[in-house]
Amino acid sequence: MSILKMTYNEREQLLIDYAEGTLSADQKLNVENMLRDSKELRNEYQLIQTSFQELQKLPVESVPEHYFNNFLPRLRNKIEAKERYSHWLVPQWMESLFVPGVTLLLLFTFGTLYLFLEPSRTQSPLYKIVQDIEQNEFDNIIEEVSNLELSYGSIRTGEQLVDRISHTDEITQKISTELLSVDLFASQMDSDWIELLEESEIDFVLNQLNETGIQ
Amino acid sequence: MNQPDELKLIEEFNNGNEQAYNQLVLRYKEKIYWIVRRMIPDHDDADDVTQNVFIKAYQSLHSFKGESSFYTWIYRIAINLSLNEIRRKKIRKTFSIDEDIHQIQSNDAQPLEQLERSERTKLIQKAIDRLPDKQKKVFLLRYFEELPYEEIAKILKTSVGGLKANYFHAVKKIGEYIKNDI
Repeated sequence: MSILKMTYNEREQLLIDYAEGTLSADQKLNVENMLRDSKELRNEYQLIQTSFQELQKLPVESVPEHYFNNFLPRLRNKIEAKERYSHWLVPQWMESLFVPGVTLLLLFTFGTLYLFLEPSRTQSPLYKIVQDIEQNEFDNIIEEVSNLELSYGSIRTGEQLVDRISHTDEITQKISTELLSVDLFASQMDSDWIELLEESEIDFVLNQLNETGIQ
Repeated sequence: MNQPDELKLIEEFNNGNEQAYNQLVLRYKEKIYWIVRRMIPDHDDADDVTQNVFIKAYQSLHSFKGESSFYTWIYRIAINLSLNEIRRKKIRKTFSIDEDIHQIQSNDAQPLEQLERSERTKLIQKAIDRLPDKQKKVFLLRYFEELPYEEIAKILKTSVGGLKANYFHAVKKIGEYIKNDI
């Protein structure tokens, strides 16, 4: 298969399989042809090789003598100490009531606080979109974005990103287009809707992207 | 799948046989220690976390349903507790200068070759620390534990294809970090 017909995910999986030596002879030949034809792929492979070479030089870690022999007795002492403490803190006859009691108390406290202090939110387009998707959908997007090669240091057009995301789910594509179609680091925003976002919403998205290691 | 004897040990433990839990600890203490130690290089800290992994397993084993194997389950605990500890250390480090002073003093005392090896280890460790959590988990389980992708997929509850992509990016980022530092 030609490299041009592959998705980024497929290329990455093939390269890592090649580096680990798990491909068949035919597949290996295919990858070697791709490496010969693509400078970008060669550069990526070189980084993988550098990584593995350096990792192989890591010294073997050591542990103190008799560490593993003494592990179980020390663990047992800790477990028994914790049990003694927990029985002192919560007498055994109360144990069955303790967790349900605390849970009810917390629910009551936070429920009351929420009813009185529910924050009003700007119904910005981003908030509405985020509100409608499930956490796992949002996680998928963040995962996909974190795996993208952001060699330009910022997010480019939504169309390029949607092409590189292999999900066919409508919601995921929609959030990808809406959320990522704007270069958040650009000096001029193209879309009006981004100006309706509250600062906390922009910070939230940027924090999510930062946490996934995007430079 | 669970080894039949492991299921039996778990059942015996849930029926009050403490020795059954000891058998599980003896079986997995080294594996768990080393996965923790890969994430937390300091032995004493790794020891603390490893102990906490087995304490948490002890406290939660009654709720283990056997949907995954025991070691998949306990691996998950080990990774999560290790990541929690790393986050705690980062916060502590922000407010402490003592660690840096001790590091400078200990570097002066080492022979050159040992120092270079130590610096290389630190560089690679730093590169691994900077990985996003998901990539870090996949990298450690694949590279150091040499687990098959299918096993990692069960531990991390994700697809094999997604794992390979994460592994690719993790290895590439380590390579980039090392290259930029040289």
